[in-house]
This record gives sequence, C-alpha cells and structure tokens, in this order.
Amino acid sequence: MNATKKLLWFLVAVLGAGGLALIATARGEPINAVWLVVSSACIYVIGYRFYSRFVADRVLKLDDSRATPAERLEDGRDFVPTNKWVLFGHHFSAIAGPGPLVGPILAAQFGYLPGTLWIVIGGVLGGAIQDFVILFASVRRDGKSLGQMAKEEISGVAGIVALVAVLAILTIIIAVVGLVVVNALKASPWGLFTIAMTIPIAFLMGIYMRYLRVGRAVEASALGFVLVMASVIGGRYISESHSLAPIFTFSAIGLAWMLVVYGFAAAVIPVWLLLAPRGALSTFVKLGTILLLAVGILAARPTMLMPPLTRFIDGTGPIFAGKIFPFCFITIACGALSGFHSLISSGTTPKMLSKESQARLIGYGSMLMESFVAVMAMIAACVLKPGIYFAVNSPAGIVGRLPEQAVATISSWGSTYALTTQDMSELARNVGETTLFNRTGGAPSLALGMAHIFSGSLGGTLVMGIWYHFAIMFEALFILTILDAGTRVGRFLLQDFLGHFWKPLGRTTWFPGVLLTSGIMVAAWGYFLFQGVLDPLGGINSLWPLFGISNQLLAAIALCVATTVLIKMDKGHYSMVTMGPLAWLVSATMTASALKIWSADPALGFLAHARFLAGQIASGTIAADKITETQRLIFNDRLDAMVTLAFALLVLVILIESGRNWWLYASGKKRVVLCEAPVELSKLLA
Amino acid sequence: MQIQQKLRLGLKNFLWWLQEIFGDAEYEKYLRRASCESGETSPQVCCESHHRDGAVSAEKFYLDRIERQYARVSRCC
Repeated sequence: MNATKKLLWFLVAVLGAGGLALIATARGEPINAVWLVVSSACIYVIGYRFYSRFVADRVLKLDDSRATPAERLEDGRDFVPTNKWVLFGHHFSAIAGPGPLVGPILAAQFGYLPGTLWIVIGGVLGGAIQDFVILFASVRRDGKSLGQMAKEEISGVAGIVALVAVLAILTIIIAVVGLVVVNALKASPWGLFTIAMTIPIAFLMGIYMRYLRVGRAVEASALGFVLVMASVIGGRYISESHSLAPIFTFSAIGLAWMLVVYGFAAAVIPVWLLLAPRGALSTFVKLGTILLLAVGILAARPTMLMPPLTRFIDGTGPIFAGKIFPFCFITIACGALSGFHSLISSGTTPKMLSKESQARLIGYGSMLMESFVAVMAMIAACVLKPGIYFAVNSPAGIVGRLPEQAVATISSWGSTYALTTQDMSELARNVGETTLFNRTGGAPSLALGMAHIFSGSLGGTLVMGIWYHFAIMFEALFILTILDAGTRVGRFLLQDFLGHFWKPLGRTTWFPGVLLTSGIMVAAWGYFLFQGVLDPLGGINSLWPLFGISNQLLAAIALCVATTVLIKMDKGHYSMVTMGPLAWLVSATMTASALKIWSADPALGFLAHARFLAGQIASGTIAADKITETQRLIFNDRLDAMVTLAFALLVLVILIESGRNWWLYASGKKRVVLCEAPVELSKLLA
Repeated sequence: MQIQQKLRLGLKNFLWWLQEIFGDAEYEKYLRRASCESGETSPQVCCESHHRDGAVSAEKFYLDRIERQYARVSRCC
C-alpha cells in the first residue's frame, strides 16, 4: 500500500473514531444523525478493507484457481456462475428482512448508543464473519446446507439440532412478525386497506408474469408498485369515509385470524399466483425504500432526540424487561449477528458464486450493508421525541389503557420524556390514524421516524400521512412475504421429516398431505401469534426474546461449524475469528435464557410471572370472569419457559459436541477428515 | 463521454442489474445454454440439459424456477 493510500485510510479511521467518540460522549446537546451514518460507514469500510481481507487471505486463503461448484456442477438451474454484483443483489435481497428494522427500534429503549455500538461492532466482527465463513465453507462443499455441514463436520446430532432449530426459528419468527403487523394495522382502516389491496395486486402481477409477459418480474413489480402507491393514497379516502372506514377497521384478534387464514392459503395455493409476485414486489419496494431512507437521512440531516442512554438501562424498560446485557444483544440480531443468515449463505448463493474471492464481497459485504440498514432504523427511531417513542411502543398494561394515563406515566419518567395528549392527537391526525398509543412491535414507530425523515426532505407535514402509510406498507409487505414463504418452507421441511414415518406425507404433490402439514405449521405459529395478541403486556416482551434466543441458537450452530472447519483446515491458530463471536453469543444467549426462565422479577422471568398470576388467582384479586384468561396466561408463561429451556439445551448440545471434536482434533485422538469437494482448476476468468 | 450518455449507460446497467436479480433473463440464458451455440457452457453440460428437458417452454421454465425458489429458505427474517 503506498503512502497516499495509507494516509487516506488513516483519515477514514480518524473520522470513524472521532464520530464514534462524539456519539459515545455527547451529553445534553442532541447530535445530528449524520454522525452515526458517517462513523458507521467509516467503520464498515475499514472492516471490509482490512479485517475481511485478512480473513480472506490468511485465514480462509480464498483461491480463485479452484473451480467453484457453480462452474464444476453447472446445470443451468441451481448451479449457475453469476456476476458478482448480481449475486450481491440476490444475496442482500434475501438476507434483508424486517429484523434489522424492528430490532433496533425496540432496542432504542436503552438509548441510541448501546444498540448502535452492537450493530456496528457486532456486524463487523461477528455477523459478517459468520456469513462470510459459512458461505466459503458451503462453496468448498458443493453448496451444502448448514444442516448438512453440521452433520458432516460436527456430528449427526448436530445435524438434527440444526433441523430442529430451523423449524423452531421459522415458527417463532413468523409469529413475531405477524404480531408486529397486527399491532401496526389494528384499528387502522388506511393501513389495512393498503395491505389488503396488495393481495389482488399480487394476483394481477401473477397473471401478468405467467400468461402475459412470462417471467418479467421487473415489469410486473413496477406495475404492482404503481398500484400499491395508488392504494396508499386511496387509503386516506377510505379512512375518512364514514361508510368504508368501518369495513377496514379490525381489532388485533380479528387481524390475527386474517393472518392465519392468509398464511394457510398462501402455503397451499400455486406459487405463481401469490408468493412469487408478492416476493418480487416486496424486493422491488425494499431495495427502493432502503435507498430512499439513506438519501432522506443525508438530505434531512435529522437530529437525534433520544438520549444516548436512557434510564431503562437499569432493566425496567416498558417495551421489554431486562438490562443492556444480555437483552440488547438478543433484541438486535439481524443487524449485527443472525443465525438465519447462515441458511441463506448455505442456500443458493454458494451455488452461484463464480470465484472464491467473491465470497468476501457477497458474504461479508452484504452483511455490512444489512448492518447499515439497522443503523438507519436506529436513526429513524431516535429522531422521534422520546415521549412519543415510548407512547407508541409501550403496552397498555404498563403505561395505562387511556391516553391520559399513558401520558401521565411516561411524563413522570422525567423531562426527557415529557408528552401531552395533544402531541399524540396531533401526530395521529397528521398520519391519518385514530390513535398511536399502544402500537407495540416497532413498525409504527419506524414508520413515524421514516415519515418524519421523508417529510422533512419532501412535502412537509401535509404529506406525512402518505409517508407514514407508505412506510407501514413497506414493512407489512415484506413481513407478509416472510409469513407466507416461511409457512410454505416450514411445510416442506415438515413433509420431508414426516415422510420418513409415512411416505405419502413426504410427497409435496399429495394434496391431503399439503393441507395437513400447512395446517400444522400455521397452527404452531398461530398459537404464538395469539399468545402475543392476548398478552396484556403487548406480546413483544415475551415473543421477541424467544425469537432472539432461537436465532442466536442457529448462529451458535453456524459459528461452531465455522470453527470446526477452520480447525480442520489447520487454521486453529486463527479460530478466534469465529470463536470470539461464538463466545460472546453464547454468553449473551445463555444469560438471556436463564433470566427469562428463572428471574424472580415477574416482569422478566416467565416462571416468576406465572407464579405472580397464580398468586393473584389464589388471593382472589382476579375477577371471576377473568380467571380462565389468567390461567391461559399462566400456561403460556410456562410454555415459553419450556421453549426457552429447550433452545438453551440445544445450544449446550451443539457446544458439547463441537468442543468434544475440537479437543479430539487438537490432541490428535481423532483423524481430521476435511469434507471439501475435489479440487479442479477453474477455467473461468476472474 | 457526455454526461447524458453516461447517465443513459448507467440507467441501462442498473436496469440490467435489476432484471438479473429478479431473474427476468433466465429463460433466454437457458435457451442459449440448451442450444449449445453460445459456447458459454461446456458442450457436455448444455447438451445434457437439452436432452433432459427438451425444448422447455418459457411458462414451464418460469413455473419450475419459482417452485424451486419457494421450496427452500430464500428469505431471511
């Protein structure tokens, strides 16, 4: 590296470090959001240029002379050498879901600092490394999935644990994102109308792509986008119409039932009619909106009104209970370190990689991009007045059911959180909602933040309603894509598993089997969805940690596989690259699991909450007509505790199996068998 | 190069990139491979796929592609 380049990188490092120092030490005066953008961007480029290069050259020793499976096994269907920028787009679209948006919004409860630090540091040192190494490992193994690699590199038990983890995380994530959508759309005729319209729009797109212009997804998506925008604008008239508004106004329970019916239908009807067009439309909208948000933040340069640290670092937060450690690191997963990404990194991407060196851009680089999306989500949450943020995200069971009660509770926390009912009424009116209180789950506050940023750049408060509902549409659109596609994939996994016991169930074309397994999958996530909807504490307090823990279980599997691969490659001296994030992850996940199961605080521990409710029934505090509901809440608490314990035990199993293998390899008691595909020289140019 | 030309080229490249991500051009690529004419693929691979699949219609190719795409985990949380 010549002197000029060294100087340039030094300046980037100074800018990044200086920005971070300002963010971390600013007290009293609010800072501009651009500092978060600049400092995180500097850290990302330094991480990419130096750390990923080190891992690529010294640890993994990527070798472009080796043919990748895309070249060796090219079949024009699954194995296809693909341009690196196209593959980057594919991979980023696949990993970018609602996780990096919702997690930071919830974690803003602690202030912007803890979440931002975790997003940036965790992303550079943990998540991007996981995605990169797993992608590399899968490329060297002819595109094998995480489950297959876990089975071959660790043990058969690890393979089974991986399968269980995938099914579990699919169930929980669908329930959680479903809850986010329900809370965003309840009593919101504008929002529900817009989202409801996406279904006939998807049908139209499906017909277009199948019969009119076969396979032309970009055209269909552009058409769909225009129609969706028309429904966003038209939604205002629906919400203001005395006759039509009630038709699109539903309670949380009604919406939950709609989601259940929708999920079941989407899993069984032909892919071309609903899933494929919805998937194309959500990718189209997602890519555009992320770019728009980045441009909006740089144009509007909003001020961060949330303090760097709030009083809730003491664990008494209204959105979810628990202190920064471990709950900040469980709440923000996808923007920093997410096990789910390892499924994508060992899915179609390794089968399309033309050269091994491209794994650095695609594996490491895409995750940094996703991490940046999480930073933008944190900004969107923190440009809101803290009082408004907490009024929207706090459940009625904590702050009070009536607006006056909620305002009084939140204002009592300190002058930082001062709020009036007028503030909230005016804001609700501006965005075309009847109320913004008790809209837990993160989506409405993200939409408010985005509307604030977009309207600050274009249109002002007059169009804030349009921007708000555009943001709600954007989030709900790709949340529902996970719901429908996830239910379908879960159905396939179940059919695959049950087919071992009764062959007809394994046939994906046998309709009774399709109906039964779809029903099982929907019933599983539907149960947790209703649990969250009926929870007086809003549901996020119990469900989001469950999702975080299950996601990090999968990350533990991925990092164990990655570490095993490094050790087998005789790169054990570099194993801290994966063991470091693994150690951090396990400590956070196990601590969170233990606290959620056994903490004596009823606001935190499932069993303590169950005991508290049982005590209330025994003492006669609960009204007779509420006893059955309370007993259901007790059952749910105990179920959640059991599920959490199961996840924690699975993490232990993986660690024990992996640790045993590592010790056996290190002591020479087990022969190292590297399960890589045979080496063939590549004929493709780099 | 003029700014207008650069912008036009940039837009063309961006549209190409979008179409590649969405898979719009997959059928044309498949036909080129199956015909063994382009030389993009080794003759053995493209001829095998041609013999295996015959002249698959655009509709069948599209349906098969999306069925496979949605049969596995293809979207993250």
